[in-house]
Amino acid sequence: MPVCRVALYDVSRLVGEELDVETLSEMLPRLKCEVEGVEGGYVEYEATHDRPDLFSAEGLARALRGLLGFELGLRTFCVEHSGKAFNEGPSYRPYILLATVHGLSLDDEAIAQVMQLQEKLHATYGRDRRRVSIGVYDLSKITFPVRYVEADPDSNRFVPLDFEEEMSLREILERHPKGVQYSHLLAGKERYPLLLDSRGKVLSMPPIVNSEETRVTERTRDVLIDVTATDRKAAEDVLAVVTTALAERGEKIGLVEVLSGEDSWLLSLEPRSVELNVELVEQGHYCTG
Amino acid sequence: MYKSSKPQPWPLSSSLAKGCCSSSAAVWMIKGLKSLVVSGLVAGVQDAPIPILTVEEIQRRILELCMEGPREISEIARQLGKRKEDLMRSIEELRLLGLITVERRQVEKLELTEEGVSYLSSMLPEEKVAAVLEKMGSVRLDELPLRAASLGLELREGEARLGIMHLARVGAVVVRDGVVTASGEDPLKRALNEAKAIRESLASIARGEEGIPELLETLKRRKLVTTRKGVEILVSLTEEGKRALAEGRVSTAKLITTLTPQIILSGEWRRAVFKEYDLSVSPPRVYPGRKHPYLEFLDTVRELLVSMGFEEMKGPHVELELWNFDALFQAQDHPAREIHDTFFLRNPTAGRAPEELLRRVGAVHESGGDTGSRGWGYRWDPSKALRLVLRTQTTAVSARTLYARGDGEYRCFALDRVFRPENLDAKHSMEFYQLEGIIVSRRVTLRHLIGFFHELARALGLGPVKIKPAYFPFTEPSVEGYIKHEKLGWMEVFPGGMFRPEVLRPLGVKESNVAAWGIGIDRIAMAALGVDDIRLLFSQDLEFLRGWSPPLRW
Repeated sequence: MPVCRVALYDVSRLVGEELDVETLSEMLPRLKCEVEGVEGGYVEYEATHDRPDLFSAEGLARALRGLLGFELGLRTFCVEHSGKAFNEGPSYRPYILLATVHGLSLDDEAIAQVMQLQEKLHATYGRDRRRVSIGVYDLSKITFPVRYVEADPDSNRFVPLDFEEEMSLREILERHPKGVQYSHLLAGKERYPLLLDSRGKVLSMPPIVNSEETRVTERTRDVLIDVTATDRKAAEDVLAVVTTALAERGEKIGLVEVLSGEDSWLLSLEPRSVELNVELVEQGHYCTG
Repeated sequence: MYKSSKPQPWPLSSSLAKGCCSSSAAVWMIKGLKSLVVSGLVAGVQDAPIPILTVEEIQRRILELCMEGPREISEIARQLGKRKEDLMRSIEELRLLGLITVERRQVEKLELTEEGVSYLSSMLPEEKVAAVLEKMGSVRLDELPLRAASLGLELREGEARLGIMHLARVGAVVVRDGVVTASGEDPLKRALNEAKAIRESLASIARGEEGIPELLETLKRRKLVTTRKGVEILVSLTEEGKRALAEGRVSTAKLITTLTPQIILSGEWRRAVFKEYDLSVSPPRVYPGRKHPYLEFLDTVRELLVSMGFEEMKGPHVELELWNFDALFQAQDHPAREIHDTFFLRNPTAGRAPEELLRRVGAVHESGGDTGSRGWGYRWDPSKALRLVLRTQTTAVSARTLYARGDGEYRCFALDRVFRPENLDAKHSMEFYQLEGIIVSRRVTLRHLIGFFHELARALGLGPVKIKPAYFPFTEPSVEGYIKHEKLGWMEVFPGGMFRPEVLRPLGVKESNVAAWGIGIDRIAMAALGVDDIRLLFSQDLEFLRGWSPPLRW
């Protein structure tokens, strides 16, 4: 199960109350998390697979606000439509879902948490990016509508993260560290997945690597989130987790309409209802319906 | 102790009786000197009695053998036609009488290797090759065995190479373009002389002699002899021993260590000399057979669970993925089902299962079936469920039991091995024990499960239990029980929870609830047995196992 690391000051500012290590260490087990270690203002804990929202500080803070009684009831988000996307992606990775988050304030720790969330989701729900992979971009560098396409490995080029030179998609698989690490996911494919904006600027080569140009920095105020997947339900769950986590650091969520052929899709944050038999709860069953 | 030369056994009856009763009288330490020295009267020397030493016949012969000088025990044994082991007691008694000294020495003994032995009865490879060359002058390498055969010599390929090598080393042959040629008669003769000396050396060492000292290094290098470490036991007469023999003060008699009815009835006791036992000396420790402490521990746990109303359930080690994963609502692309977490069978790869069960399990995975769950929402593949694995969890046995028995009121446990590809170290092993159980009842709830954890911990002497919420794929809600370890703090040892409807309904459990629990039994065993390395639980080292006190008393 994923081991996550959060900064006490970061969780505190997200909760809106000053927390101490003792409180956090006492609350974590009540969220099924096991405290692994406390060091220099950081707490490490193991979260369970059924609570991906606890894989980073944002979701943890949301849960703590409820547990500590600061904010009870269902969390609501401010939502509006923000853009459009076209899905013309490869059949071996057929799903792409997107959303945006606006009015963010990010610092090093916040960016570290977003990366941690991505990494833990990749490792668990994403099955090491095979089933689901996530990309987060600086929205100010992008113009809607975006397009998810299958592209020729040699004629398409862009500057991948942490590099200064342009590379073809094939070169990325051969030379970029992430390309080498994940090249098996595209082995034997004639055309590779590519995410472009309306002006043809490359956002990323899912599920391998993003472009350097759209990198999220401390100056980023609005982000675009994409999830490509082989499993649509998993993609929906993962996008909801990442979007709502980022929304804890921002003002509102933007819905991106994804058009693939006749189909149209929008992120749904509608709560689901489950019936609970109170009598059984009282007997000690805590049975789910 | 006899006060006269006439044997009078009765005063010794109390100690003798004990000796008689013991079936292992021979293991009692013999007090030696006191028991064997029979003070008596030598004819004509009434005023100054000289002690006469009574020994057994075999002991007398040992003394006599040593008269000419120190003897090694194996030589004595050979002379007497006995085994060395059988002489040890006699020699020890003689030593205690002060007649001999015994010296133990670490020695290195030369011994022929298998190859060395083979040359006792056949020629060395270089001799065979040389024989061919003496006849033909030169010969093609690949024809060597054939030519040797025509001389009536068997020369295998490896032997030919070896023979040429030895000859080439002393310059007796040259090899060029696949042809081996003798360098001349003299070098060949020299090589043959050395070969002959080698064989003589081997024969000499085989007889227990030293062989030719200059050749020893050669023999070792060619791996024809090895040295073996051993102990030599050298027996020599003491001055007193020599005197006693010379003065005729050593007499022989039959010594009786065990009194039998026959000895009494026949009157033989009148003439016999009895050995006295020294009861102050502790006997050697005898280790009775006992169960391996880990198995003993596991059996104790079994008894405990049976006393709590559980029946033991068993299941196969080779298991269908269906029982090990699918029936437990673990999605087919769950990471635990991949090759690095599970051993898969290479042959056969698949088994069979009831159609109806497969259909129900599949429906639950895809859409929740009739459970009200939404399922995992993917396309379930029955052929994956039929693949064979080494079971990774005993929960597979619980699933089988629930399918076989369905609704009802019962409790079962499994205590058995499971297998996972781990790297073996102090904390991990690729096979280990799991203990788990199910409590099936219409009325059972999570509270009962938590109560059961407390009760079990108390019975196992583990102290208080702390419970925290947890997650497992097949139970909801799930809990983890912690016990407090003196050094390690809170240790997670009791996972458990209520089986999900997605597990129960397809297995045919419709009206009952099932509390499922597990125990990190290896961890508890390590704590209870006081070991800090999981591999020690499976130790076969007798010294180590004897040191273990019985685990868990309650």
